[in-house]
Amino acid sequence: MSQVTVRKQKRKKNHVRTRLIVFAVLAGILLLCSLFSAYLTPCDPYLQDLSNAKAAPSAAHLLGTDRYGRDMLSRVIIGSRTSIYSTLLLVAVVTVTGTVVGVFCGWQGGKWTDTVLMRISDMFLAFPGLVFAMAVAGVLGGGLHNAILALAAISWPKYARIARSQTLAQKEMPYIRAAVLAGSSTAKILFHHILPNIIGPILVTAMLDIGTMMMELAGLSFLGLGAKPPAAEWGSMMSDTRSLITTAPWVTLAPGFAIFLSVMVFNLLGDTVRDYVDPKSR
Amino acid sequence: MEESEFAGRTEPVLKAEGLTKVFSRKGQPDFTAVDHISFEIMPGECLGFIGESGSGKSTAANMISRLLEATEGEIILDGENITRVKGKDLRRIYRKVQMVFQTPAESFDPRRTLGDGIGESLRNNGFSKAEAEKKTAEMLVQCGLTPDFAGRYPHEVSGGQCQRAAIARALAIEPELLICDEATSSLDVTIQKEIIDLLNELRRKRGNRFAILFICHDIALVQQFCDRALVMYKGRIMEEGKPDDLIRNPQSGYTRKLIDSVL
Repeated sequence: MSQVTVRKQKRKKNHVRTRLIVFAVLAGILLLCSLFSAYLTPCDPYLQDLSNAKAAPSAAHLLGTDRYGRDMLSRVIIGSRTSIYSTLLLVAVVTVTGTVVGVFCGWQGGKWTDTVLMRISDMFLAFPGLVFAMAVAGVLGGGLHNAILALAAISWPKYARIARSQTLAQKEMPYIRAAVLAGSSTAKILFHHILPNIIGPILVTAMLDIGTMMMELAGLSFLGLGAKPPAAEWGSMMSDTRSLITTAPWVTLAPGFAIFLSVMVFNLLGDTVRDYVDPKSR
Repeated sequence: MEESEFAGRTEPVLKAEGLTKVFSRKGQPDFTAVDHISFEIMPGECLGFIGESGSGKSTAANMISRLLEATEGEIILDGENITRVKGKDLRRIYRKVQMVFQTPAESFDPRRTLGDGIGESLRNNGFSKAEAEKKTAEMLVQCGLTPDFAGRYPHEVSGGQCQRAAIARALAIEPELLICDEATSSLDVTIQKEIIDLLNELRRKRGNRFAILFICHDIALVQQFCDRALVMYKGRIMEEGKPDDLIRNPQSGYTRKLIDSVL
């Protein structure tokens, strides 16, 4: 390889690393925001002040007030807890469940347990996502927890498939046979050798999914199947106030912009992590 | 283990009787990879397996190390029938049998250091972390590397160094039988010679405390290195004898063909 190409590659790697740091910091700020949202709100997000309803953004209310006179900035900030926290919870649950099932299936590789579990995951994959989530939320009733449950039910097969195919590929590698020869138990092989070697692509998928999941959760809330009022959640806030979009646009735009911003940050972070992990970009 | 335990012993380390492996797949005729082979390995002996690719050498080796389930036949290791042992008992036999693979770099976990791989069998067999580390360093030196290789990752070392580490790993637990499955085939000739020299030296050091099953398609190498050789073809043993005799005076047509194709 010539010097020039090496230098180019190095520059590219540095570039990816810079991007990674920038987006990780941005995502970190969002996370801290949602974690300490209770302390960051300038006003009480649930305090109604009907005399001051639908007020335009001003010094007292930077993002204006909604139809009950509640401070929009405070509601967006407190809403980040529900939106970001439940999204991360959802992604974590789905990633762990999918990976456990996938690794188990891959290790079994073709036995009946593998076949049964993979056919079940196929069943979930066959449903159009949001429609199934609506059906589950409909049956179990609305509420954020049921929305998370519904989205988890349709999202784990993707992870199970990735984990399974990766496990199938890894378990034929000589180093796994060497671990067997070293007298390691199956559990040890799975946790010490297989998992660290397959976790990369799974984590990247999870990072990329944060944005999607956030949108879907907001979508379910928008449809009235997620968070219940007066709880502040960006999707349901948009839904509640969409009739006001002509008269008091800030009431809809504020949570909308919050969704846009955080989905973008997490998507870009996911993209960057993928680039960073991809050996070709190193 | 003490030398005296083996002194005057005539019991084979490993005895395979009627060992057979049939691969069956739906919609395809059964394929017999290994067809009723029987052989013995004596303590301290080096037995060579010669044959073209697909002749069932590796399948036989994998059955002996129980990485592959035998369809039929019996494997007797050190007087114990290990053909069907499972779980804990199976892990116990890996104190006596170890293997070195063809692709050294792939035989170490890419995310773990060489030292971690070498010490794994020790830690699994009741050695403390410190003891395992000490023994790992010892083994690395014995195999012609320096102790600092323990901290390196498989992609940071050359193929020859990696294979030395693999031999160190296999011998750390002091097995009675070492299976070398094409252990030198992916290395270039000079490194190949170094590895053979290393194995010879280790054999000299340990005397009849460890036997080698040497699987190789290179007849010249087997002639140089092995006390006795088996010629395999299509899952059967065609011929058995001292490598020199096999080459000078081949009995079966296949052996003759194999030798002609090399010389």
